[in-house]
Amino acid sequence: MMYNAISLTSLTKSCGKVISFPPGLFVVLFLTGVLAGCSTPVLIQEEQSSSPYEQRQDALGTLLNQAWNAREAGRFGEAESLLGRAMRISPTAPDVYYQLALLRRDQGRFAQSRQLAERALSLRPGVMLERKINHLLSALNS
Amino acid sequence: MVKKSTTKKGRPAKKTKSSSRQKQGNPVPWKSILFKLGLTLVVLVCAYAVYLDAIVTRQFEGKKWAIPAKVFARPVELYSGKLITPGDLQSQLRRQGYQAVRDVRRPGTFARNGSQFVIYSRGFHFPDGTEPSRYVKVDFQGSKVIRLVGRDGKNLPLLRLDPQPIGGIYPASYEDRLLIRTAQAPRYLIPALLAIEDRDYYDHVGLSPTAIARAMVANLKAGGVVQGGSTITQQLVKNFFLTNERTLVRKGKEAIMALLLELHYGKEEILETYLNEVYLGQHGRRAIHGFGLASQFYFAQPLKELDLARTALLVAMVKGPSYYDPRRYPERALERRNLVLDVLAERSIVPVAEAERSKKLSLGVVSRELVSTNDFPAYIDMVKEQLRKDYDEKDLTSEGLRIFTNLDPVIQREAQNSVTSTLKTLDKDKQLQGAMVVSSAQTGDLLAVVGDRNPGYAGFNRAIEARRPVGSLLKPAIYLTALERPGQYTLTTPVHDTPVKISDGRGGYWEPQNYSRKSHGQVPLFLALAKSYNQAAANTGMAVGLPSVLNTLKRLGIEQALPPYPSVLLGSPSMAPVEVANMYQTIASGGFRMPLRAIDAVVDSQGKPLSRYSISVEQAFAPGPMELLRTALGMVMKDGTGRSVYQYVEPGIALGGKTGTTNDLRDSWFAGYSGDLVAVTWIGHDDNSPTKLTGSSGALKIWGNFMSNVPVQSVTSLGAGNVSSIWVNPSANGRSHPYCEGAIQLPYIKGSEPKAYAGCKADVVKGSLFDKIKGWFE
Repeated sequence: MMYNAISLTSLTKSCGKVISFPPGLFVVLFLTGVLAGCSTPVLIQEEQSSSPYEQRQDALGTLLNQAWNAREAGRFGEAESLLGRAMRISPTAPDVYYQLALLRRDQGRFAQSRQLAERALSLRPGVMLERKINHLLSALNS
Repeated sequence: MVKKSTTKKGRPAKKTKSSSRQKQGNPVPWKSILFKLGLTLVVLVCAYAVYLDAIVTRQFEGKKWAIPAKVFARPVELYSGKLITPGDLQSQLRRQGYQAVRDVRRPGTFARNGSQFVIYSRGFHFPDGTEPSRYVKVDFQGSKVIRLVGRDGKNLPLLRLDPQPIGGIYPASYEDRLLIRTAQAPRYLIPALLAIEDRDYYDHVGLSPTAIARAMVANLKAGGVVQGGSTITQQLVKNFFLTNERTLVRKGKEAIMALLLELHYGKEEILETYLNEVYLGQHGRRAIHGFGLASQFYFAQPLKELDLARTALLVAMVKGPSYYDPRRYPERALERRNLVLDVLAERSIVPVAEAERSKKLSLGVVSRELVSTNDFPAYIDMVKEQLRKDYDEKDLTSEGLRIFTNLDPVIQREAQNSVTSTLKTLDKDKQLQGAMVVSSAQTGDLLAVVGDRNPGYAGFNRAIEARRPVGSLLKPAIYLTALERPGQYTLTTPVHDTPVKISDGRGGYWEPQNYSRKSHGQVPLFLALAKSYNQAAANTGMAVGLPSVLNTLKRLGIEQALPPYPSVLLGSPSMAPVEVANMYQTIASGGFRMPLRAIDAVVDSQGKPLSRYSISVEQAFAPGPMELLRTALGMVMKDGTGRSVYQYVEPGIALGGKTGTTNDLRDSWFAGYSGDLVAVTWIGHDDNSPTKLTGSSGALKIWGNFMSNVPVQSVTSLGAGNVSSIWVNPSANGRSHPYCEGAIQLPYIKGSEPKAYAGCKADVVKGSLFDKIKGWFE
């Protein structure tokens, strides 16, 4: 289930970039995407592909933004270091643990991703972030 | 005469001829022998040269040195909102070799004007990439950074300084060096070195007849050896391949090898090797090799930042690092440094005015303490312990790994100061020992480790190795086990502080007493913990079941297998401070178990990341029971055995913790946390004799002292969804109202709240909450 969700995320991104698919292949991919999307619609909706911290100018926001972009680009080691720095600056910021949970998920470390998501929840996230975390958890648990 | 007679008599002449022929025919072919001998010698020398050549090329082309792993503290990061006093920042900058200047123009310098700093940071290659050098204005308001502005006048979100080196992992030889490339040498280093040590370097082939002649003349004039004729190449050969013995054979070997070295390798490569090989000082057992490390060792600065005067001092020391040690013999060192500067001016390598100006400068050597890489041996022990799980000892001591740790230099210094200064006040005989472990409450980053009352002592590390009975420090596990059963236990459930006699599982009986030797009857659970009543703890522990308590301890992070004896309930097991810190870490983080992490990342000598040690968490307890336990541990600090902490810390700051005292007052413990830090302190004697100290009168003082000197945040509620707070009359375990005398607000897991109202008795007992509660009992 999780695997499908990730596939769809990347597919969605790929669709944006690669427009020269043969029509037949595109249809197949599109249908696969729709099927995958049907299985985890919420996760796709909740997880935006552009960094939600883009406009932040503060230290924590800057690091979260850089970490988001590094993770999205597949530079997991860099994302991990940036989140480590963010955690030192603000060890009770739920965003940091949520992002780390996303990173672990992307690395295929689902058990640790779940634990980090729980940790993020325990730090009293705002309503929006709480929703995102819960969606991540439900995707991980399913 | 002889000739005449032989001419007259033919025979004798013939005879003479014949005898001469005989002589010629004798097997004494000197020329041939000499030729053969010469040839043999040449062959032997050639063979020997071939042998030496193999040695030279093998060692020179392979890995030249075993480079010890370098260990770094976590870098100081400045950002708006960062809590650090301007004084702490200034001393940290100085420790990292930043020069205080009036006009900040180059990396590694700073200026301070009251609450404003201008810092020109050094660039550094971190595991996550390169941090560029930055020029930043930093504004403070009190102990808080409020703004960072870059050179372009724009706000900067962050400034990350280069990390402070805190030690190394050395091979048995204790040789240490910091490799540099020739390009990293400061402007005058190589010209000065060549001017002093080998002025014909670029013209000779390894040996310099003119230098030898010059030295011979000088030595003859002086009537002894005052000058050497060795070239840089010869010096390198001697240091790199040979011993220090002064024999002709060794000199011959040195000469051949120097020629061979020059034959095979370029001048630049030989010079670069020399810059890294040359011996420049001693730091205990650690031998300081190369200009790169010497620059750090004497000036706490990267080599490339050295000015002319400092460069000249290092060059001056090549002749005799012990004799010209600038810390031990500053006058000697100054005289030779100025001599070097004079030579540089004479040879027009530097302008005379600049040399004269440099001669007026002090040596600029920082104190040994400031750059001591042995400041934090207890922490390095922890680092090594963690590293040995993943790396071979050989790799650690030879591969030039770089270890980035979580040590916070400011916290570490404050922790050591607190241990040292508190023990000084408690014990004039200097017999008491102490240990301390500090970690980040929310992440498990290990921030500081103190293993001895004496700073920098690298011996028995009590924070890791001193396993002592922990006394009441385990009591929170008993009550947490109870509170996880909200149907049976709440914070106000009466527990029995009454005499108890339990089979000890070894054929005897265990009959614990309270510290005051009095029993208190039925007391609310939170009060039993806050007052650390032994009999209440033993009774509750037995009621919930010893195996359950042991399981709770395991979930809290106690890894050692504890024996299933009742005495475990009152802390008979021996543990090291770091093990206790693991347990309290789980409580401080709100029920998430997270191993203490000393290391952040390891990179290889080229800066390529090898391992990262990121946070790993595991929720071990539901937030509800943890919230209740944390409330009770807060009561310990407000009104219980830990209350004296508020002599050090502002009363508005919520803290949690527990005292621990062992039989005959042999060990004094305190383990506690703020919103951001966990700290465990221990005081005792190495011979285990009584200390006359309880947890409150001993270890808590170190803890309080420490917390008063670092920025501290309040412990906050976990916000557990299934917990609600109500006003209760704790002694009656019944509901109450805020306006009732003695009523307090306590959290309950929903459904476990007292149902009945206990009335609203207007007590008139004055004093603390516990005096009031006591009043009710009485």
